[in-house]
Amino acid sequence: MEIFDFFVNLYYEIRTFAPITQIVIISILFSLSLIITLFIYLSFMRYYYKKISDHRKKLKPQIEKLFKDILFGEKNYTESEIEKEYVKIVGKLNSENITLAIDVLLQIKFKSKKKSAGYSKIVNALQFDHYLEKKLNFSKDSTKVKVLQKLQLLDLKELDAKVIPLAYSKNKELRREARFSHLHLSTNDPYRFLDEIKGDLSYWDEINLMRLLKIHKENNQLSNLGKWINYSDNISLIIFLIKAAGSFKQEDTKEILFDKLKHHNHKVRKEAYKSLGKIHATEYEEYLMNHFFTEHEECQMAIIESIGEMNTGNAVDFLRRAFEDAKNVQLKKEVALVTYNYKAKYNLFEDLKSGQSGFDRTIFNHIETQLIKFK
Amino acid sequence: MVGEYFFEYFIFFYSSVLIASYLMLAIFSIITIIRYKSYNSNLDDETLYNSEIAPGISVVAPAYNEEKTIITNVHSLLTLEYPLFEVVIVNDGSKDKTLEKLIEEFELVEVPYAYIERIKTKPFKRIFKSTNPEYDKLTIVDKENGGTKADASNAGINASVFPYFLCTDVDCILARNTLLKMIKPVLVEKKKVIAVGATLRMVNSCEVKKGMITRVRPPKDLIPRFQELEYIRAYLLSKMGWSLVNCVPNVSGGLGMFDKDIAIRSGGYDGRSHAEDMDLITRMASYMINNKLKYKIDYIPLSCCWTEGPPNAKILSRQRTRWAAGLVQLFVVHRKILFNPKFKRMGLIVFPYAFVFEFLAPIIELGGVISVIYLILFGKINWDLAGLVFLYSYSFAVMISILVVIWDNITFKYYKNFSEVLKLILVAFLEPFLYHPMITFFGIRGYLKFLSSKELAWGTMTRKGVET
Repeated sequence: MEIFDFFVNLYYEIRTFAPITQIVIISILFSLSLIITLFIYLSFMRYYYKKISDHRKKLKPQIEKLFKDILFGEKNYTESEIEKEYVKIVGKLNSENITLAIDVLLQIKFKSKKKSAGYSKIVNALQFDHYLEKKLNFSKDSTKVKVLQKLQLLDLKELDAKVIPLAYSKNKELRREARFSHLHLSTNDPYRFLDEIKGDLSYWDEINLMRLLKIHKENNQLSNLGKWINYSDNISLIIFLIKAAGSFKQEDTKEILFDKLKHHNHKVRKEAYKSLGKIHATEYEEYLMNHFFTEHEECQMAIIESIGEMNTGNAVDFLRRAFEDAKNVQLKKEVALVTYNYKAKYNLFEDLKSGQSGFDRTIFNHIETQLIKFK
Repeated sequence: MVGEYFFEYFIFFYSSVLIASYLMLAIFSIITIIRYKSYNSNLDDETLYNSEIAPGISVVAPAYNEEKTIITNVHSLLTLEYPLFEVVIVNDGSKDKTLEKLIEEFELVEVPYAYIERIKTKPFKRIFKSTNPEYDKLTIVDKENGGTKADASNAGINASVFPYFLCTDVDCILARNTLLKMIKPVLVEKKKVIAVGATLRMVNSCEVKKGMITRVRPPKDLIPRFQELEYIRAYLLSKMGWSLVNCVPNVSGGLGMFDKDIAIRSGGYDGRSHAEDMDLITRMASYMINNKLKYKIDYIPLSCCWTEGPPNAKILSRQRTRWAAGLVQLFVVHRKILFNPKFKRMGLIVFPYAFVFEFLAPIIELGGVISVIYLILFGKINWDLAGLVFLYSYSFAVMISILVVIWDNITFKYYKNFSEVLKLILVAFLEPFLYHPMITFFGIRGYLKFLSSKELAWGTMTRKGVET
């Protein structure tokens, strides 16, 4: 009662002060109460963190040992044995312990590139799919994004159907991750969202798409990217797919890439020039050489790179002229680099180098110095 | 009566606006931190690390008389985790054995190098590469002393080959995943990200093994510990907060990643500047605005860099005097930007805020001290109001510091024990009495030094070196 009276009196006393004093006193009380609250919150947060991290630290080595034994050991574990052994370590199969199991398994997967049938056994035995499915249904968007990443890493193809609705989410991060997951997990129509990409791709999108296309390539399931290069009206996507077609050496796309050399956008042309080189489309070499001197600076670099990739030995005179006409030091470096690796009837590199002096000579010395890794 | 109380009311008004801006920044920064935590994970690092198309990054670190720490720190830089990077160390005409030690340790030989001077610097002498394939990512640029870190950094940028460069000090220790973490905002954003910053902390009292931080501890000495708190507050509250509205004023010279093309087009670091980091960001942003290009300057809430903080007041004074002189210089050189709507956010938010709450703050505080002394001497002080205004600012300052300690713990729990967190909180209570007056004094001294045009060369700091 006394405390209550104290606060009531304080309230009426404060009301007698000038407005500025009132604001100051209220602010001080606000700050002091927040200091106490924040301190309590921080103590609780640290306590909770310590509890979890101690629990994880204690169990992790044992789980890792068990999983490695299942994955790479000689004993052939059944799913029920795996569950039994895991429960023996962690006590019970709750969400915290399943999360821990997923994290440990992914760590092993990152460190060891060895394949093993044990991965799917662990996934099934500890019911990762049920757990992650539940998370996909009932978590906040940011958690769903992380779950989708785990689905890809664990290769849980059976959850593909759960992914599709998320590919239309209003949350752009979730939508993007769901589309990546679909490309990874779908067995029917993995490329369906390529047609639906709106706007520019970010570099991060490209890195993820390239990663997923690489997985398809490794599994011999990579489609011919030419049809999207041909029909898509998204310039950013076209540029990426041209790059991918070159990286995966899709020879069937040659003609489509050649068509793109007439595209109005120089970035599209640049990527098409590069990819034709990677595919070794030597039949277009003459076209490349003929268009070099009238092309955009970025495309000129791409043509030189491409001529270098083709390495036919027929571009000696062209390379010499390209070097002599080049105004840009980067272009000169690129030509010098190509001539250094170029197969020709005579040593074009030495021939060009002997005629140079000053900085141009240094370019050649730079190129032939093996100690310089990144030219 | 009004005249007597004018300063007290002015201080109240000034503090209130500052407090309001801090509250706004606190809200902005927690939004940014939660968003960052929600949509970034270590799984992304794995994706990026294994990518064949990840953009290359050049790590540029200028060195001047760094013989004590150079070897450990270069080893540390070479262990960074990233699929495509190089380390460019610029020996800025060191008078000690920095270069000799590098040559011996990394088995260096001089090589012919097509060095293109895209940014004008003091004469470049030669370039060294290692004959040991283990160090093939390392390039050493040897140049004449340019007198400033800016000149040396520019030479490093000229010698670098990749489209992004990470500028750091050679005495800094970077977290191994620094490049993976710092390039991510550049990759994710569709707008052109011209610079990315991350949090710096004090290496004093941390455990370092083979150039890597193995255990983070708050500094034992009080001055570096004050700085630890100051840095966390500056990065997690201020810079993270401003990044939400794309108004980041500065990316630290200790750790910043930049778009090389834009940095070169903007003229690189200004060799005459004493605040070369803020100057570069200002010029890069101006370049984008003048060319009507959209841009973003981003921050990540992670601590990626540990640097040796000044261990005593003398060295702190040298550092802060230089920073303060740099701040005045910045406002003199870029005065056209201040309150200029043509420069959009930079002219109407970034510069005015820095001017009023960073540049003017030491002057107002000095005015406050003089005013209080005057009022005491003439017995005119309103003790009640003065006490309340002090408590008003003090309690808020402590509250904000505790808040950023929580932000820091949400981001990542760098300190192992709660007692270490408490040590940091303790300095939040002491800071307004011990540390802040020093900083104010050094600030005023820096302004006076700039006005009297005294020379402020390379920010040389007497280093103890880190035990490894």
